[in-house]
Amino acid sequence: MTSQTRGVALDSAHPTGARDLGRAVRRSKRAQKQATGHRSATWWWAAPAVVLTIGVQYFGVGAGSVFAFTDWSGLGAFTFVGFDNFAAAFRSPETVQALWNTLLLAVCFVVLTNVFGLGLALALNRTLKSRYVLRVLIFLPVVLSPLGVAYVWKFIFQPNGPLNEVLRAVGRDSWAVAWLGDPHTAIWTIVVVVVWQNIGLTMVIYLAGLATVPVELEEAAAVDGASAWSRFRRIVLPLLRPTIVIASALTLIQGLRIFDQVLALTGGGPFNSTQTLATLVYKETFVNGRFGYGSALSLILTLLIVVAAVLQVTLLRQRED
Amino acid sequence: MKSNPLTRRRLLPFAVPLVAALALAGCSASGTGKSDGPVTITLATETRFGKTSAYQDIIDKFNKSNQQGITVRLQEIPTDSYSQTIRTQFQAGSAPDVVWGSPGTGSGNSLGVFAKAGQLVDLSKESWATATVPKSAHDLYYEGAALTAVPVDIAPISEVINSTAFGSTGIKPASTFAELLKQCTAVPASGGTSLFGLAGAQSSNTGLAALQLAASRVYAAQPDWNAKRSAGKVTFAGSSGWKSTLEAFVKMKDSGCFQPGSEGGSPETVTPVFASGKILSIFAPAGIASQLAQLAPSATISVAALPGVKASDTFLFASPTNALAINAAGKHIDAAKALLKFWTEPQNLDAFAKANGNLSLTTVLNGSHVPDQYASLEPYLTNPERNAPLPNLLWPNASVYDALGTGVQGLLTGQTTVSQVLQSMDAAWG
Repeated sequence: MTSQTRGVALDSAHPTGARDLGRAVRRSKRAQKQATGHRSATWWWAAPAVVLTIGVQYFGVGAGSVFAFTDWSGLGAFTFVGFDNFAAAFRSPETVQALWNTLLLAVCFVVLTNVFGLGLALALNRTLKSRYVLRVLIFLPVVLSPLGVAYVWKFIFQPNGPLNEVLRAVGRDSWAVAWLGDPHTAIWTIVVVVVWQNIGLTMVIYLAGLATVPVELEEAAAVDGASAWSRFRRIVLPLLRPTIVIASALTLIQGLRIFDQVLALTGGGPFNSTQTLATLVYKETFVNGRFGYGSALSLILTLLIVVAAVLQVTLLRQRED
Repeated sequence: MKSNPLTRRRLLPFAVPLVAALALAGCSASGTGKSDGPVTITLATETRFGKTSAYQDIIDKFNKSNQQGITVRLQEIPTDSYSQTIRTQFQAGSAPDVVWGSPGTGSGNSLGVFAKAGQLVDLSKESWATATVPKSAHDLYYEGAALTAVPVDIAPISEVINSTAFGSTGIKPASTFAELLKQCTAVPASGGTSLFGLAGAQSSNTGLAALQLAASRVYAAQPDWNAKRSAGKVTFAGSSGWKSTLEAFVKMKDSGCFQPGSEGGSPETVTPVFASGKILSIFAPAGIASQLAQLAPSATISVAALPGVKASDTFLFASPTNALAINAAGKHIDAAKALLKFWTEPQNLDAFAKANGNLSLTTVLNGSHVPDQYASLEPYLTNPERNAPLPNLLWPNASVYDALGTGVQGLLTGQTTVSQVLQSMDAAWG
C-alpha cells in the first residue's frame, strides 16, 4: 500500500481524526516557518559580531600570515620568497632547539599543573576546615601579572639570591648554582615558575568538576568497603573526564605559548637553552627586524597549537567514549 | 613612504572612521601644517633611566631661544619597545618629526634601515650637517650620497673601573692582555670577587665584551675589516683575528676573570657588587661611569681601555652612536632642520655630551680638550689610528651581533665552540 492510499483510507474511516491531523500538519508548517524566521533573525542579529570577529581576529591573522612568504623587514616594500622562510626555519638549529623547548615546556606544564591542580582540588574539596582560605591563597598567583611574578622569581634565582643564600646557610654550597644561567637548570626554573603560578587555575577547574560528582555515589561505595583510591579511580575519575579534557586542552594551549616568563627570566638564554618558538618569534621579528621570518615562525607555532589541541581533545574524547 | 596599495585599500574602511573620530576628539593639535607659523614638532628617544634626559635639556634651550615659533616636544619610548614602536609608526605614517637611533644597519634601532626604505630626509645639502660627521664614521652616516642623520656625541666603549677598589687591591689597570690574565687570579686571592663583572645573561653585554677584545685583535690592524667582509674577501670563521678574539674570551673565563655565576649575571646583580668594590671593572660604555659614581659616592669611578695583546695594539671604539634623523614624511621638515642645526652648534654639542656623560663631537672634529673623566683614554681618542666607531653598527643586520652575543654566552657555559660561533656569525651576515 502506498502512503497516498493509506491516507485516503484513514480519511474515510475516521473523518474527525483526519481533520485533526490536517490541523496538526498546518500548525506544524506554521511553526516550521516561524522557526526558520527566528533562525534567520538570529543570524541577522549575530552578523555584526561575526563579521567583527572574522574581520579583526581571523582576517588579521590570515593577512599577517601572508608575510610568512615574504622577506619583509617591517618597512617599505617586500618580495615573495615562497617557502624559503620555512625552509630556513627548519634548517636553523636555533629554531629546532626552540621547537624542542616549546614542546618540553608544554608537556611539563600540562602534566604538572593538572596533577598538582587535581591533587589540591581533591584535598580542598570538602572536609578541610580551612579550605576556603587555602583555595584563595593557592589561586592568588593566577591573578598576578606573569611578568611581575617572573621578576620576583628571577630575584630568588639570582646567583646571590635568597635561594642560594639558604642553600649556603644549610651547608649545601655545591647546590648553589646560577639557576638561570646554567643550561642544565634554566629551563626547569621556568617550569617551576609557570607551574607555581598556574596550579590555582587548574585547581579551580577541578573543584568545579568535583562539585558535579554525586556525594551519594561515593558514600555508597565507601559503605560497600571501597578504599579511597578505588573510589577515586572508579567513581571520581570517570566522572571528571570532561573536566580533564577542558583543563588539559586549556593548559596545553597555554603551555605552547609561554612567553612572558621566559623573556623575563632568561630572555631565551643561555645560548638558546630556554628559547621557545614564542620568544624566537619576538626576537626575530622585533629585535632583528625579520618580519617575514618571524611571521613564518608564528605560523609554525599556530599550526603546532592547533594540531596539538585537536589531537589531544580527540584522543581524550575517544577514551571517554 | 612606500606602502602596499593592497594594504591601503584594506585599511581604508577602518582608517576613515578612525581619522574622523580623532578629528572630532581634537587630537590634531601638533602643529598648524604651515612652515612659517608657530609649530610643534616631536622628537622621540628611548627612555632615560632614573635621570633627566640630556635631550630634554637641549630641547628646552631650543624652545626658549628659537625665533621661528617652533616648540619641540620630547617623546620618550621605553627602551625595550623603542625600535618596534618607531618602526610601526614609520610604517603607519605617524612617526615623530625627529627620531633618535644608531647609525648604520647593525643594531635593533638602526636608522640606516629607515634610510634604505626612503623614510629619512637627506641632509647632504646642509653644510652644518655634513660638518658634524667624523671622517671615521662616514660609511655609517651615508647611504650612498645621502646623509641620513647627524651624530650628537661620541660614546667611548671601555672598561669602567672602580679605581678605589683597584687601589685597595694594590694593582693598576693592566697594559697588556697577559698582565690582565694574571690580575684575574690575583683579585680573588686578595679578597675581591673578580676583576670583571659580566652580565652573562644578557647577550648584549657578552657581545660588547667580545667586541672590546676584537678592537685590538681585528680592527687595530684592519680598520676596513667590515668593508672586506661585505665584499666577501674575508669571513668571521676564516679570520685569525676573530678566532683569537673568542679564544681570548675563553682564556679570561678559564682564568677566573669573571665573577662566579657570571653566566646568570645581569646588570642588576653586577652593579651593586661593582659599587661595593668587590668587582673591579665592567664592560660598558664609558658614559655610564657618571651614573655608577652616584651609586658608589665614596669610590672613584673611572674608565680605561681594555688592553691589547701588546700595549701598542690597544685600540678603542669611540662611537658616534647617538644620532638624530628627520622623518621624510613629517609636516615640518624645516622646523626639524632648525632644531638639528641648533643642536650641532659647538656649544650645544658640548653641553649635550656633558649632560649625557659622553664625549663631545668637538673633541674629534675640532681637537677640543678631552674632559678629565676621559683622561686615560686621551691617547686613543686624539689619535685617529687608534680609535674607530663600534664595528657592529656597520654590519648588515642586527642578527650578526645577536649571534656574537649569544655565541659568547655559549662559550661561557661550554655549550659551543669558537668556530661554531664564528660560523653562526657568517650565517647571520647573509
